[in-house]
Amino acid sequence: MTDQPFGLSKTLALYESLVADVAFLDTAPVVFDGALAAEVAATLIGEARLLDRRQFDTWYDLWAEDAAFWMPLHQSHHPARDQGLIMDDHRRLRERVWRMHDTSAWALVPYAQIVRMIGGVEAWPLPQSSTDVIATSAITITHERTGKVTVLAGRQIHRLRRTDDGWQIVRKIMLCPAISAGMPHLGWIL
Amino acid sequence: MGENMNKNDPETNLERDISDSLRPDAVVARGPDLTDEVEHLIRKDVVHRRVYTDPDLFNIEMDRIFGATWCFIGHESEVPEAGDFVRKRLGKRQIILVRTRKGEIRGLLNRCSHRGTTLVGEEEGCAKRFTCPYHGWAFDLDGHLQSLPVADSYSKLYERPFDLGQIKVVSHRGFVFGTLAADPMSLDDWLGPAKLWLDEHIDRHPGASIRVLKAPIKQSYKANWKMAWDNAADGIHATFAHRSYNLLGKEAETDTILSRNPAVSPMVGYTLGHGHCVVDQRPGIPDGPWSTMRPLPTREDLEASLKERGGDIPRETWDLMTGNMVNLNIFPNLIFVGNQIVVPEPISADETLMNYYLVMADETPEEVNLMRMRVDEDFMSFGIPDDFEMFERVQEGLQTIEEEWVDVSRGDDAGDVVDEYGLATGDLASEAPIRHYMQEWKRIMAKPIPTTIRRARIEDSKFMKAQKLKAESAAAAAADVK
Ligand code: FES
Ligand SMILES: [Fe+2]
Repeated sequence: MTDQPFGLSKTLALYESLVADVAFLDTAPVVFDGALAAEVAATLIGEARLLDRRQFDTWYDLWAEDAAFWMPLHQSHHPARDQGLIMDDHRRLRERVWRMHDTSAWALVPYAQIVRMIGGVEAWPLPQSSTDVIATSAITITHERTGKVTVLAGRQIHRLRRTDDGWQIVRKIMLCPAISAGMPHLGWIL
Repeated sequence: MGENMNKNDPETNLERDISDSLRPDAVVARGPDLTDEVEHLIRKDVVHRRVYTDPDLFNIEMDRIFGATWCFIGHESEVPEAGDFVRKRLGKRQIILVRTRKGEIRGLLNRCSHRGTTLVGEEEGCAKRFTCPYHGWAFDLDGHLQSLPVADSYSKLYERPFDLGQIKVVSHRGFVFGTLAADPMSLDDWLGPAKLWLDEHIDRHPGASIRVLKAPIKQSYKANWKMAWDNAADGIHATFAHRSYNLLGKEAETDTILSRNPAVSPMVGYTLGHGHCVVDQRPGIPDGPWSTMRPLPTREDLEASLKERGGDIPRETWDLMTGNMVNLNIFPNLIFVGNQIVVPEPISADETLMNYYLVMADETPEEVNLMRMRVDEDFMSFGIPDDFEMFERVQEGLQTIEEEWVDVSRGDDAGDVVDEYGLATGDLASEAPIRHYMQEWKRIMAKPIPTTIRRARIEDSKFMKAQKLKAESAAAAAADVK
């Protein structure tokens, strides 16, 4: 690893740690900090509401600079070896938000009605960090546009950072089984 | 690998006009003669809406176009080792594309020869043999029946051959095509001039070595599969349908290739025979494909990393990270866009599942392949949804039954140059590629096409031996009479 150029090592390290966050679900203790989970749940539910209500700029402000949003095609996939549906940094998230408002994004206008339901929130402090926590939750999304309804269920894995102004989103991973089977495009997902 | 991949191909030693479908070597041409109907539906410059909406025509397409015509099945790099298999489709039929112990590629029908159970349920894997979960029959990687539990419950076991059905498969430099046609034209003839473009696409990768990632992005749209085909060589839609993508590029101060004025863009399209066509966008981008790339996740890090490796990074290496700006379309189901291989899979007259496979360059720095994935996700997010929206809106529009005709006349007698073979060169507004594949559609759909299922050891079956004996004694009797 040491003779790798810096930019490559940095990229691979990010990808490894995203995969580690998914693997963490298998070893995380069932007993967790209930107070922390309740605090985190409020943030995740708030995030869902902002997205449902199209408050994308406010939502974007929740994100940390070192943002990563990953949506793999399959739970077993690796961002260094498999194409994904989404592998965004802060800048590409900004572009997604821009497109949400773009009236020539034909696939997104007229606007969709969307409701996200969040449940089963668990959260654990990250041992290597004094500010960051890892959380997982189940999500069901109902999406209606031009008379067609899409329902998508999945598991979210968030990394959140405690700041003086409240929680920031550092990472979000969405594992949605229906994606591997093939489904209508998810150009609207956030 | 060449034309003689199926060494046991039974067709070579058997009569051709066999229509009793109970025979193990049956050659059957199914469905009605549509000569007059397709003559009505496909005119020179207009196409009837039913070509996109009629479920009966769709079912015939699944037999004649996605069955009795060469279709892309998969890439050899998906099954590198003996026993590796991937589950594919030829129309509605499931195909197990497998590498045998001898290293050959086979296209086995994923249908147990006993009562029809699919043998594998997974998308990919590695197997020593295929064992049917229902009654335990086992087949080797060549499709030979290997074991049949409780065999003595059959009185005439080998009367009918129980080896697994197969399609004919032929590879061109790793690209595997398959068909059920009893007497297909050679793959070389089918590809025609498109083969040169395919070769160029492969040779662009260092060492001509490419690897196709097994898991495609699968996305469906509610419209006919030919919408994707109409769109694939449609240069002018990019300016309008992808307005959002182009504006996004402007925000990032990158002039995406799609955003240029279609009236002055020097891109060209060529029709290549048998419905194939190519759109070459390179004349419009003198600074190369990489110059049209927007900022992407990890781009700065990976660029810096490549430079840190030292030496001059040739422009070809940068350009490998994005597409080659040549869109090659091999009818009916192989579309090259960027670094992706797109395989449209018809579900019904008004639903299609698109499979986007990503191609990796094997002999290149790791940064290039890492970048390819992020490039790929860009258009999936910001471009493809708007294409799908157009396809679905066209399908909805075509529900107006009184507006019977779809116009595809653009470019005809207005810019297209047609050569002595009837192949056309047009600018990016030309609809010559649509007219071209529609004529091929018409040719293929007009008449029932004889198909046959390949099977190992057909000639060893008692049935076939008896047939042979009968034929021989008849010939002998005829000789006696003389
Ligand atoms: S159906 Fe496969 S063994 Fe019976
Ligand atoms: Fe497009």
